[in-house]
Amino acid sequence: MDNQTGTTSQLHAEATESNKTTAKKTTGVFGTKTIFGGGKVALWGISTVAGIIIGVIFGVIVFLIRRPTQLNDWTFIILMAVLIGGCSDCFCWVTIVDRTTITGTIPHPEENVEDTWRTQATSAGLIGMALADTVLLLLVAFYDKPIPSVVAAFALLGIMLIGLLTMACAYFAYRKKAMA
Amino acid sequence: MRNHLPQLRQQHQLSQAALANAAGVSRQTIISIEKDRFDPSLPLAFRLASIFDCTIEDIFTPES
Repeated sequence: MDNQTGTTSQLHAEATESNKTTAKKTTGVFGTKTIFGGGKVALWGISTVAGIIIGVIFGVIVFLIRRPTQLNDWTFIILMAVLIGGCSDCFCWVTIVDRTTITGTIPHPEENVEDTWRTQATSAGLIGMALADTVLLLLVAFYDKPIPSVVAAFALLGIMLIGLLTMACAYFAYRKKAMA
Repeated sequence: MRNHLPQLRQQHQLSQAALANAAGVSRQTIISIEKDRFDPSLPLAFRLASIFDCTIEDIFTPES
């Protein structure tokens, strides 16, 4: 009994101390390392530069497709790069950050009950998207006129939003049921 | 599965948060396990057994 208490206390103390040390020195809100070992400078530098490059490539692709005439070529490309630069920077950061250096992360997220809720909610979201898609297909089948591309784009966006909303509602429902 | 986690935790004077911290999972996971609403993965079960210095069978028993 005393030996067990000592072992547990030691493990507990080590875990607490380890967490404190981790929280003080090696973690940050946005992470402090890349997955290949680089520090904060590498993390921010690489994600920013890669994000800008992705933005410029995206701008060039859109320019080649659309061929706008109202704007100067490079003005258009730079504008597109700026518009999606923030998103592409975040995407690169998410891809290269070592998540164990982000403050508050749990070492084994795949073993948590929240992961089970997320998986179940994802299934519910897919079902929601399928139902929304079915309703939209039925509406299109009975609609006899040409549909503008903008309307089609908004319809697709609506299907995605319904799926995400279904997923969010399902997640909170599972969570509430578990906490009851 | 049924489990003796609440009893073991009280026996060793560990809070749910402390046990979750030591096991590397969220507090909600420990709560769900104790309420028989979530079955832990095998690695997590081994870590819990290691924390309490006992076997997995000492903590978890099949419902049947």
